[in-house]
Amino acid sequence: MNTFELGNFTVGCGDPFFILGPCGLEDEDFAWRMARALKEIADRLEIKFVFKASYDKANRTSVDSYRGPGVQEGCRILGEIGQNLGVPVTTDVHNPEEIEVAATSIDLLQIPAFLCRQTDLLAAAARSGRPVNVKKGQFLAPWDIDPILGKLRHFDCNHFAITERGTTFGYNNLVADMRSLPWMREKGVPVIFDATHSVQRPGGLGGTTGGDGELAPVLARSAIAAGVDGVFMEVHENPAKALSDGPNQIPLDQIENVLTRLLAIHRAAHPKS
Amino acid sequence: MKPLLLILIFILPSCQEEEKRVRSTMQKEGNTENPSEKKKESLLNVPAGAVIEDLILPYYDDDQKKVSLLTIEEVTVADDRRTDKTILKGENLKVWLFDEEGAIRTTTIISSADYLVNKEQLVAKSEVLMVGSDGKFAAKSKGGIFSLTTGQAILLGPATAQFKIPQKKDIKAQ
Repeated sequence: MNTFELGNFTVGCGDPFFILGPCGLEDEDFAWRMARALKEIADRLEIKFVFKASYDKANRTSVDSYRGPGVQEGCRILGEIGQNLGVPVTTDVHNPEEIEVAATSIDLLQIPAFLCRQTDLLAAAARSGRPVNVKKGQFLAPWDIDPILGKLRHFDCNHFAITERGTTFGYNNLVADMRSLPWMREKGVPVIFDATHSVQRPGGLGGTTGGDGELAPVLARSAIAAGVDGVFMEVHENPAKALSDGPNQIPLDQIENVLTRLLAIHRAAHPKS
Repeated sequence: MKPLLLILIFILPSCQEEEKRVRSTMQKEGNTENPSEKKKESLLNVPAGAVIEDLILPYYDDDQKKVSLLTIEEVTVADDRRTDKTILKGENLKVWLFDEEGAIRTTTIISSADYLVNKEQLVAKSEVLMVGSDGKFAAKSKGGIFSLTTGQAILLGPATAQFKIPQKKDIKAQ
């Protein structure tokens, strides 16, 4: 397994880590509130935690939808959160220029699913020296990640993970195929399961994306049982008022219970790890 | 912690192994063009009077090793691009200088400064706050000059600096 260090833990060593946070970085106070709350839960449960928020929701369904504070302000906020709370932070990057800024303060660079095959983007992420988490496009089969891994290795990047976030299934729907998790892990790359984006219904609300947020924990439990290196879940203090991806996010007041069950399932399914 | 009138110069040494690695990567790509040069040419094509938001200017050496990174929240092109005096007037700037391993050496925050495109120099005549990434150094001055292609910086006084010096027992322990 191609392991790498992130904060004070190792990704790919057997114990899962958790990428948690709101979809969009709605404002600075909100980000701090969410990060502090999630850090407290992570400390209580003694889990490996990475805080996530996006500074630019660059692929919203509608042009009128909220996007975020932008790379400079967003990375400043995330960098300060990471430094002050002592947690690694991650966010998605959309072009090589953004990576220049993000790499100054972001611990794990995330390549969005729609951009997962962009060679220039992967090259810039690889050269940044930061670990890279590539979300597998909804349009890709598990074995289609080979060229992506090949590109990262070509640019001398050895610290990367791949995230399963569901595969397009007919119109306005995704399916999360649990078989893809071991298939991709067999390639020696740490695999993360994105439970909240896997329950999206893209464009399912007409002008916006819908989803079945209440099913995200179900898929997370399945993935943990199947065996993954990390679980990604978007969490919001009030999903109904979230500025993006509200229907998919897990309410903050429920996440501790969700995580507790995941840990119990991990211990039962993988007693030796 | 004493106030100091100072001029600080930072020079990046070279690292042969890193150079080899980057050269190898460039050969794989078949790309020998320095992205800093491309960026400079692009900037020279921006008409006077234009306002640019969120400008990001990374600088690399000839072997594509990152030397510095400049970000500017708002830029106004203040002069004619065909003269040697092309100036971008920037507000809310940040400058990162990198060491030979690609790690951040210093982060500098500047409220306003002029960027001389042809010289690739940043000239600040406002407050400059520079912080070392190891937390052992911070300096504040009323101006500074940054050579973005070489990673050198001169802070112009009056200036104050703080250095965190290891305790004697720490020195013994080392």
